[in-house]
Amino acid sequence: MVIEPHIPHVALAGNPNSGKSTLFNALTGLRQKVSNYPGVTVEKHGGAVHLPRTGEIHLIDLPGTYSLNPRSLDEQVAHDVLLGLRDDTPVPRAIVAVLDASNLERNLFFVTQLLSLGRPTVVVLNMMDVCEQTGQQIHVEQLAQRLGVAVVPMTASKNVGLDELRAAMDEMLQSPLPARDVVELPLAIAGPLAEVAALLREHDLAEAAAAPGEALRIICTATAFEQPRLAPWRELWQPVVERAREQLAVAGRNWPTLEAELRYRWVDSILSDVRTAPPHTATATDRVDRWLTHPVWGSAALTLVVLTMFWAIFRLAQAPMEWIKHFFGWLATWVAQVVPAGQMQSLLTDGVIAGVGGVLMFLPQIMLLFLFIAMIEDSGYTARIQFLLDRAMGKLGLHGKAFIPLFSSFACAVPGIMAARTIDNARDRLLTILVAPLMCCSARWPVYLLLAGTVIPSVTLLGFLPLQALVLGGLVLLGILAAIFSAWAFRKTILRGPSTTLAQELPPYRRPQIKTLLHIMWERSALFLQKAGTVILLMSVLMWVLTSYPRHDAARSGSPLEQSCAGQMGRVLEPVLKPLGFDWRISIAIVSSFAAREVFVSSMATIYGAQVTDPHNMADLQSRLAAEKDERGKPFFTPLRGISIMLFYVLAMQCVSTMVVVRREAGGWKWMAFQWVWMTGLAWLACFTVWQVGALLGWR
Amino acid sequence: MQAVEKSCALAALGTGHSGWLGAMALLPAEQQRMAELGLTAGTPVVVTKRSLWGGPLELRVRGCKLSLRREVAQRIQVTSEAQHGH
Repeated sequence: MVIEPHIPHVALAGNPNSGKSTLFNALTGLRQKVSNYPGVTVEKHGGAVHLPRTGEIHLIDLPGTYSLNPRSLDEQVAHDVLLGLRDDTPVPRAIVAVLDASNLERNLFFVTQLLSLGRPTVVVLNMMDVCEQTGQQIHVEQLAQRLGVAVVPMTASKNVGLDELRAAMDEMLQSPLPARDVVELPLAIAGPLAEVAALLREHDLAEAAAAPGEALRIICTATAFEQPRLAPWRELWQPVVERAREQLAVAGRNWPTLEAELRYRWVDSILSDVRTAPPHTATATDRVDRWLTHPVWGSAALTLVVLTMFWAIFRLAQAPMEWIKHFFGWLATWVAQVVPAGQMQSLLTDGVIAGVGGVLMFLPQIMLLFLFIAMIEDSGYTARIQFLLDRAMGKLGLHGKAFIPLFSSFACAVPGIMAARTIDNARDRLLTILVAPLMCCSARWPVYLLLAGTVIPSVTLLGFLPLQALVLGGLVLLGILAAIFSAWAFRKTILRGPSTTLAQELPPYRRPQIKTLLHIMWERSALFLQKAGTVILLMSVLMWVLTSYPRHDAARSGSPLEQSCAGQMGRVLEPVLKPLGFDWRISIAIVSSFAAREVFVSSMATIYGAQVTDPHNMADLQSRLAAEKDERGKPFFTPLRGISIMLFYVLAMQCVSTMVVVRREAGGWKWMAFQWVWMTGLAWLACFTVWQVGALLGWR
Repeated sequence: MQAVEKSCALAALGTGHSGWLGAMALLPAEQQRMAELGLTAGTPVVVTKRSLWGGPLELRVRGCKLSLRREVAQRIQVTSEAQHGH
């Protein structure tokens, strides 16, 4: 148990889509901090709130949860914080339970579970405006009386009721009254319930007030002893729990659903007293869904959304990307003027500025993607995409919600992988993360354009199909096929078993608030910059050292790059890469573009002494490559060799930013390393096959 | 016309039709989560839509919309009121 800190901690808990985060933002304003719960990929939101009498308190915004019986990492964290089981988070002194007033029944279920924790509690009846629109009337007094705690009606999105909530929280902290469970525990298992509750208290696993509710949940939860905190007690407690389940079976009760049935029965019993609702009529959401989840129109709408997204990413991001490039160009020139020529200047301009600038150039695309993803998530559209595509994606071995993460990865895998967080099931999330970087990201295009322009003849097939474009399209398709194949292979081996997604809520559509969207975009971009930025900086310096040292010795043959560590590594790797059709020079370019794929182009330019002013003007380098002859005096860059190199870039993991994000999101080095080995291994095998078979056919 | 009760799988219920939830042939942990989402025995349910190619069903239960995979819906019994002669 954690010692209570000086400033009281209060937890904000509620169902997903109950407007909890909007309320949190309204209460804390800009005085909030986002971090990660140590050891898990769940974001931790905390912020300061000032109350008139209590003074400053710390509010924790817990992940949205359907039940205190956790099913996902998010729910596990919410559960553990509420029960004071996390060493990194002080046990909350009180709870603010958020209810979506327009979805009273299911929200009340979780609220009654929260009351069973026996902590001082205030219930927020959020989204009262939606209730009014649909003609629902909620009798707040009645509800407060039934729940036994203060109930504050409000509309957080319009800042209505905030002062009342602050006053109620103040009152709760000044004269704390423990909440009490509204549900009466079944007499049929009174004995075992008391036994388990006593064990919980004895081993300091639950506070006295929370123990009976926890005991009931343990009896109803088949997987209870899989929880780390209960696992050690399995042998000791299992007999008692089994006895309770048998007694329930004898009494004709289905034990897994018992707690939910008890709570919903209570909710049903009070519903007519606390709410007057007109019969169900089509809501605005229903009317929108008539189109958006329609087999034909829904698919058309999704296509439109995706195309808009791509248009924005590739069009709107272009100008800021140019500015960033020019800024770094200007910075390099300025540094070159200020710092005397020499190694220091080279480190700063060729290493740090070129390296960091090259990756930061993609930031506008990444930020726009974050914005779009936030819009899709916040409006409630994610669940509709899943509804439309669940079957099709399922056939490919992927989760319906993997669509947006995978599609985003066509621009950049970083936001794609971060968007996989919406997948609540850990295995499907991991699967998505593992295959996302196979999608054709922006950084691959310079490599493809350079090589396709060099080795693929500029002819049109059938009079209208340009062969080069066809090859590029084939490379994109190949990435998709490789992702599907990988997903299939992982499902058959390391990530086996059926998908555990049972039911998915289709929440009412909400108009996303610009402020919230910008906030999310900024938060995620900052997180990326902070996490990847340091690694990219280090990698840039490392790559500079590898490509600049040992320093050029004029007495020995070869260019400076050839003599450098990277050059030597290229030579060392040559035997491994030669069977793929790569000579030492291509090997150097591959080694130097380990941190970021597009570096391949500038490395090739350095190796071949060509000028590449911008990625769209690679003619000089292309002509130099085309002029290169092999030992037989024939062109060195044949279509087969070019395709083999492009194939390598389709499949191999050549991106440090992605690796950093994978390590973070998949929770450890292990998966990051596995992904690198898998992708790069796949690349090696594919290139080997293509080059060797091509050689046999005499296409070399 | 006489109303009779008939029992079938939720997946077999026609779009726009309603019924009352019955037994679920699901794992205990799955039954528990379904109940927590409000799908308890005896709860009225309406099938409001079906997705493409045997995809999920859209349901209305306790005032909220849920999407449920067809494989899951096949394992849930419902009692529906079928009009005689239909």
